[in-house]
Amino acid sequence: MYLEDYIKGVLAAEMPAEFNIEALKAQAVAARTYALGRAAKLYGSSGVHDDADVCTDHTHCQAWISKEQAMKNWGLLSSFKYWNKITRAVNETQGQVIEYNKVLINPLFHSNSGGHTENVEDVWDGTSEPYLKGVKSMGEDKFREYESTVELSESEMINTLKKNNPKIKINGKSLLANIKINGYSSGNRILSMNIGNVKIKGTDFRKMFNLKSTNFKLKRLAGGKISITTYGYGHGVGMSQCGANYMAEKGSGYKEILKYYYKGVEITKLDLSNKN
Amino acid sequence: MKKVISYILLMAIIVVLVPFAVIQLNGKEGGPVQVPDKVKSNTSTEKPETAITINVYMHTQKKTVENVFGGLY
Repeated sequence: MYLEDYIKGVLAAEMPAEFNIEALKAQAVAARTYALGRAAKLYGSSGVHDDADVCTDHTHCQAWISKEQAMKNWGLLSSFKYWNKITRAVNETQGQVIEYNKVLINPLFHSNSGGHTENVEDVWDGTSEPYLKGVKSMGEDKFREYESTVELSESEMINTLKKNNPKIKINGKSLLANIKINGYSSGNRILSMNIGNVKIKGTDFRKMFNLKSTNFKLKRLAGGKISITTYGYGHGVGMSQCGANYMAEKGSGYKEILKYYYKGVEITKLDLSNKN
Repeated sequence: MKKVISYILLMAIIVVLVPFAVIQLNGKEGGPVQVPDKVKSNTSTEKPETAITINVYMHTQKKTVENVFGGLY
């Protein structure tokens, strides 16, 4: 598949087409860099699709949908307008990629940071990139992805905790009395917590309860229920899509957006003369 | 007589229309239209020879999503 055609499908799947054109352009450059970085085997895990550079599973690579599927999703009234907008975002950034020290970066992105993005090492142990450092991300609370709450009964929570940690011991009657937060990241996300006799990473707790982020607060409600309120949506590393749209709405161009979320990078254009 | 009239009409058509056709094809008298590169690239449906291709593994329909914005990752 032609790279530029692939990028259009990624945009259609990864970012709302009603977003500002500059946010879409930022996403296009990030998506192109992501794909080429994996094609060059700079990033990505092996063994999932060894014969292909990328796949369409959003839990592993970037999401992608066909033009036909995208237009069907948008409906008759908006489909041509949105496809033209996406095409414009891709064409006007054609061949542009993000580099740090003349090497393609790993342009991680997420939906909503909750107000501050994350250092990559706080989310994935053993990783560190100078351009993936947490920054304040304005305007995130203007989006519905900013905050959400789930309610669970205390017994439900304890069962889930025991299922994932068979050796866990909860003392007394109150679960919350057994929880102690050990530390927060620069983005106010929970790094780890002690629950009873077990230490649990914030990222593991998020997986256990299918939370939208590791920036969460627990609260006891009447009737033996516990609410978990999360701020932000996604891992929080790299570019926030909501933040990018907010910046674009405030007048920032795509290069400014990318350089804000990926520190110390350069936006360069590929030399296509010797490549295929 | 009919043949003569037909011949004259044919010649008249050729004499009148051919120059117009040539002008239409070239865009102007004296040579072909110089199409700006910008217009060429916008109207061409052919991919340039240097276009980068990428191998994409397509998952089955079950993995197809409408839009993953706000997804878990």
